[in-house]
Amino acid sequence: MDATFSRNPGTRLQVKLHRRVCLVLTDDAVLAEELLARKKLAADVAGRLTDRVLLIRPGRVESVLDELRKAGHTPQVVGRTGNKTE
Amino acid sequence: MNESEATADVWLTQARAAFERYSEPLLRQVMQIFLKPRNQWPPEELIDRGLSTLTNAAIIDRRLKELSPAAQKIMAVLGITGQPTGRVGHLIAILATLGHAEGLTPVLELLNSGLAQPVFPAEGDAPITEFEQWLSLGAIDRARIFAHPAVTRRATETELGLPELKTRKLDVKSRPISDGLEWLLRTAAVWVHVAAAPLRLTQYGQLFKRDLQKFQTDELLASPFAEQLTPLPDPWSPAFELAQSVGIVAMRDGELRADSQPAVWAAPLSTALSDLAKGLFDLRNWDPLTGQTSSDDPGLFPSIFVPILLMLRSLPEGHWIPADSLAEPVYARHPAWSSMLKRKPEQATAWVEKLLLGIGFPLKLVDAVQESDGWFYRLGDTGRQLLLGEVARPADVELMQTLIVQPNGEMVIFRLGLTPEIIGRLTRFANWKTFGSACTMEMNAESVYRGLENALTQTDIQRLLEQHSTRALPATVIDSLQRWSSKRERITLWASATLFEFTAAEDLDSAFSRGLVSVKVTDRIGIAATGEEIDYKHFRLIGNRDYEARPQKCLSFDENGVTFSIDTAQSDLVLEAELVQIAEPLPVVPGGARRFRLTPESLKAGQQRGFNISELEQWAIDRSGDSLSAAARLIARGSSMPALCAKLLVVRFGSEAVTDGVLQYPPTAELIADRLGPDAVVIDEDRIDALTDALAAVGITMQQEASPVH
Repeated sequence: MDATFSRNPGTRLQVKLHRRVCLVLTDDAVLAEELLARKKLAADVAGRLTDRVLLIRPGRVESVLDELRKAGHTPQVVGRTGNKTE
Repeated sequence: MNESEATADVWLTQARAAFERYSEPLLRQVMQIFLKPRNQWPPEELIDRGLSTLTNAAIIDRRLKELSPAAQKIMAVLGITGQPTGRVGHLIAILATLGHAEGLTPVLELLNSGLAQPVFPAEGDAPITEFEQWLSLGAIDRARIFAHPAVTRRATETELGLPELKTRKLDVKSRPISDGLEWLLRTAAVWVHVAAAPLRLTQYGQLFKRDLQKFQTDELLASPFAEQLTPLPDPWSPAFELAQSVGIVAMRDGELRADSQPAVWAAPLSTALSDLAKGLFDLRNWDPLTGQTSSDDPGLFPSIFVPILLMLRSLPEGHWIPADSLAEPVYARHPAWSSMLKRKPEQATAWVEKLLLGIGFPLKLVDAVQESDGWFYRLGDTGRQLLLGEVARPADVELMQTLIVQPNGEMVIFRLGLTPEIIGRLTRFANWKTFGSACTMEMNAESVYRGLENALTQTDIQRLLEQHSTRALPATVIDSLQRWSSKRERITLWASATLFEFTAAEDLDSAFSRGLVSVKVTDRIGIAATGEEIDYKHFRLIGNRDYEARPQKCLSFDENGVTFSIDTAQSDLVLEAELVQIAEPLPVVPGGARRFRLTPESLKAGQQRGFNISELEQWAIDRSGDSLSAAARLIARGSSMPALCAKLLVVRFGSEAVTDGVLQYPPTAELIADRLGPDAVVIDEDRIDALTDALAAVGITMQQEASPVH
């Protein structure tokens, strides 16, 4: 695609939508490694989009959240059902 | 539109929905009484005219006068208590206590008059042809009717025909005064319970056994009141129901969840108490004498509570009334109360005493004074506000410094300075430990985390504590708050994000600068700005994938077996994660598909990240529909067998049949090293003479190929 065209403000950007994605974003890559070192957590990770972005398997949000809390983390949760504002 | 207009509008919408469920003959029958139309209007117009008449005071007054005294009293009860809806069973029982034993007739009269409508369940839309049919379907105990507040308000002056009451004029010098906070605090404790773990309820709104046991054994909710005039059985139960009635906890997605910003925590104390008191009009699962009830039916509580309130409302100024004078007329006329109390009238007095001292007094619904011959009651501030429409007195000047924060995160809270707002804000990030004239709370990582999840920031928490603390905040508490909050900032979990995958990094940058993307995830993928609908005018969709849907085949390998193209419309995010692990991107051709290559290095890195050969094989089948190519398998696996390099001579026989014979005939077969193809074999250089001889023996001449000229 013509990148110059797409950067022009007001033009429509070609995009693919991914809905209902569960992700964990960490502050740094070391923290992501630390999380992946936990076997139970790693099993719920479908892959790494970058060195600090973990893609969580569908339907495993609560399990990941529990595991993070067990590991002593207090993740900021965005878009969880029932939470009005985060 | 102000708040009351908005609420009225809700009831007009509900009235419309109800009228629309009437069959046409029923609608015409009702409107004939309600509108007295002179023309044959179509049903839609009848409904429109009916709705506008609901707020026409002159016509409503005429229609109310046409009702029987019993039906008028139902409207009066709904109007006085400010309840737009009522259970049919309760209304019939209340009417009985007011001297009307007509049963269902007045309710049917109201429905037929158009002044009240049935409350239909959300499910089902079959038209009803007669009200008796609807009542038999819904069961009288559960069926509810509603009347527009503009209608019931016109009926509040109706003579209720209350019995002559034995009251006493008292010159009260001193009496206990409630601060009104007890039930607010207890509903806040329910909020903490539910915030920790959302609850599922049975079909009839009851707790399941395990949750029930948790509440039953909760020491805080079972603890005595700060000003306890009488102990109550199962005090957690009314707290639980009142928390639901004021929306501190509410059903969402099939679960009872804690609301992060309930309106009652933002209201002045008088409004909060009035809202809590309104919850008593629909209390189902608690009895002042026996405590929590697990029956699925709606119980009797409202049908006894309302007549008692009506009697208290009728007391002359300066007069007080004892519990037995309130209990006797209700006990005598209520259709089911005496059997519930096993025909023991003294129990009725105890019931009323518990209700008024345990629920009414702490809510300021009633004032209570103890004389030598027992307790006497009259309406309190909340009661007068609710039943007489009195305007609440402005709150006293707030005492700001009302808590002490200990270095270990525990807090002592003096009730004097508490307001619903402070209770609400403290409840979000700290756990109540004890209730008393001074309450205690505890902050820990989990509770602070809960506060952060419920729209508070670390600054909000610290500011609130500093604002209301009588002393400076201990440094250890500030440190802990900072530590717990910063730890939270390090990991963000997006539970259900919408991601934009752009075809080029420049597009992501452009969307980010326009505010369409809130977080960049990779160089081409970003998270959509939260809290807003996607504005599609900015985008041209080239794919739309549900992350929870099954992965699709989305790549095709080239002939070489190691390079491949992505079908963007079918690919998903998991593929992106897989590609990062095992493949190298190839330069993008403008307008072309994204392309990747498997290399020995990329596959080796993948194996180090746990992507082993069997997963690679499965990945190829899942993503391309074909087995892993030999080339890919070669670079992934290699071989443990060494490749041999040797100088051999090729012998061609010109015929497959001859070659087969040479390989089978022992004198020649033992000289052959290997077969190369249908008519060619290889042999060691030093065996060529022996083969020449052996072939000569069967009549084949060996010819030397001319050597290439160098």
